[in-house]
Amino acid sequence: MSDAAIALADVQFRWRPQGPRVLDIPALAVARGERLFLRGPSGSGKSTLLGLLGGVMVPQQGEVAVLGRPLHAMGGAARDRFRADHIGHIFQMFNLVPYLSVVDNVLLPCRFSRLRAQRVAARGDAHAEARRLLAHLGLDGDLLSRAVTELSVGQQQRVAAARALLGAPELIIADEPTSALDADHRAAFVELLLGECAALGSTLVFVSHDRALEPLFHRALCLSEINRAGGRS
Amino acid sequence: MMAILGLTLRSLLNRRATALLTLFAIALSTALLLGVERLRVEARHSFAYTISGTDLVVGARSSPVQLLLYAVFRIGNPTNTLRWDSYRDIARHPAVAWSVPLALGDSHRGFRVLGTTPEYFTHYRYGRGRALEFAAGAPFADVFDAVLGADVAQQLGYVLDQPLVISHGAGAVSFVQHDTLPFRVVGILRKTGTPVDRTVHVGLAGIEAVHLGWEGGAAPRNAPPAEAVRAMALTPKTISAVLVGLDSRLALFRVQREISEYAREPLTAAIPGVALQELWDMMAVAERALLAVSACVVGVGLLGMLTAILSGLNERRREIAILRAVGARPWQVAALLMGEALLLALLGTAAGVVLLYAALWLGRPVIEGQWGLSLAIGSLALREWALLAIIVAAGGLVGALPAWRAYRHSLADGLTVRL
Repeated sequence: MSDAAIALADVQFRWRPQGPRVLDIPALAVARGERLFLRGPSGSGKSTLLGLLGGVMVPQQGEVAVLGRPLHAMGGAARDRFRADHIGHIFQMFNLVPYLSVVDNVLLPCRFSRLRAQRVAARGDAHAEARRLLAHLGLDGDLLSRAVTELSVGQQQRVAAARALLGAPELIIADEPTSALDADHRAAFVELLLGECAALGSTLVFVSHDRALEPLFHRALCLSEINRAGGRS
Repeated sequence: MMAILGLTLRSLLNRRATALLTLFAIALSTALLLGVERLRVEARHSFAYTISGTDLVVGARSSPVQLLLYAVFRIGNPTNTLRWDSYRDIARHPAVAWSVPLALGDSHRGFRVLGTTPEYFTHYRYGRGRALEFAAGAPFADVFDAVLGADVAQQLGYVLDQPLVISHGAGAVSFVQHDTLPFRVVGILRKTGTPVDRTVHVGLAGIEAVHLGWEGGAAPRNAPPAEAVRAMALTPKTISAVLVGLDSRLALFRVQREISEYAREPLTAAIPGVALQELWDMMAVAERALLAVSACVVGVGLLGMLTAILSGLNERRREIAILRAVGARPWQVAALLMGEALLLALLGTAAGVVLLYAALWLGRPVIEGQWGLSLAIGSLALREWALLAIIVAAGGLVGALPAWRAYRHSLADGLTVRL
């Protein structure tokens, strides 16, 4: 295992074989434990890049190594398992499965990853661990017994963060998680997230348009600077 | 797999209104299909047992089906008669345990009149060996006594001691009435669900009596009065058919052959079960059509389920992306959708079976009273299990379409929904 959490080399990606290149990244490296702020205009390939990092897609050319594992050379099943075991995702909005309770939404990764279930079990009861994480993010009491659709957007995002953090995955990918929040909640949410990542030692890739948040991170990158195929809008 | 099953259940519970409606549609159509199948089997069974306990039906030479049609179902007319002497010979045959002569050809207000002997009421069996029972009165004893089938009594509103006049010929409206010699109702039979219900039974002597002086084919000018007729020897010269019971079924084919080879006149001996089967097969088209229609209803029920699942699929693309993000494999996403369809089909058919038994339990008295069909509330027959399996399998097949689409979505969308 190398020290890099993420190492991209000569990555090229197109949606269709004859289609335009969406990504052309000669190199990108993120160290373990690093907290990276990634911005870029819409259409610059952010979602595609996150898809490659999550192992949902593979590039036509180049290498995508995450936590030292060559995702581009792995089969679909192996990548799905890798994602379940090592990566936590937070989306822009609608992060929660509507028919599951708050705690069950947080525990969702345990259904698909034995590794994360074991890590949670090592800290005690899974439900208690989920509640502990939720409490850390400021969610407790009767909030937990509500239907997830009754939570405010900010509360939903914090539930999603708890889910991404459960079982201490090495990489957290957050895709504009604050864009649906107002300014006050935004800073509070990011601080909570950064604090938890630091506590777990997880690497964080945080995508956002909000440059006011940049100083909170180790490093800030603009995707259009590293993506030679970027600039489509 | 367990991860997905739990999600499937929760997801269905979350949409319980739609799920319940879908379930109900499948349950209803399943109950209908099974009900039709039950009725079909029972009708076939009941038909095959229109007459039981009778080993042979003997008549003038004709096809066995035709013989059965007029002798048992009272449909059509005997093409020919057999002589009383032949009947005596059959009755005296050493292998024959009992024999009942039947004389047909007259009617009463559209219902056939059957001339026979009182033994008819003891030897005629239907269903699984059920004997005829009297709702009121007793078998005929006098020349001018009549016993009515249940439908005759009910439709004409006849009660005991009701006088009735027999018409010549089989039509509903006859211009030639044997009205000088009225009969009297002495017995009314219970409902059987067989053609017996639509028959007026009188003694052979009664048939003979009303035809006295008719040898020329026209009504006699001066019919003798009833008292004089009673004093006469009223043995018929010809009859229409004979019901025969044997001492041993082992002799069946031998006796059948001997009767067919009877030297003094050409006769046919039909085995009722075989002829009834032939007859039923002629009506198999209607039977299959009924089954096909109810199969279509099941198809509609499953299509309803497909609509419900497919219409919800677009709203669930977010959910699918979330599941993918936490590591669900594409086939697991497909299994989630497939599982929903299978679960709905499974629960729907189970509910359908419950519905069927409830309907059977409630409807049994009505069906028995109206059509004389006795529906057994037994366990599911093999064929019914097969039908249920087909419905569930079809449900799974229907679920394959949304499952396939969800699979495609999960590959194309990745972690972001691309609409």
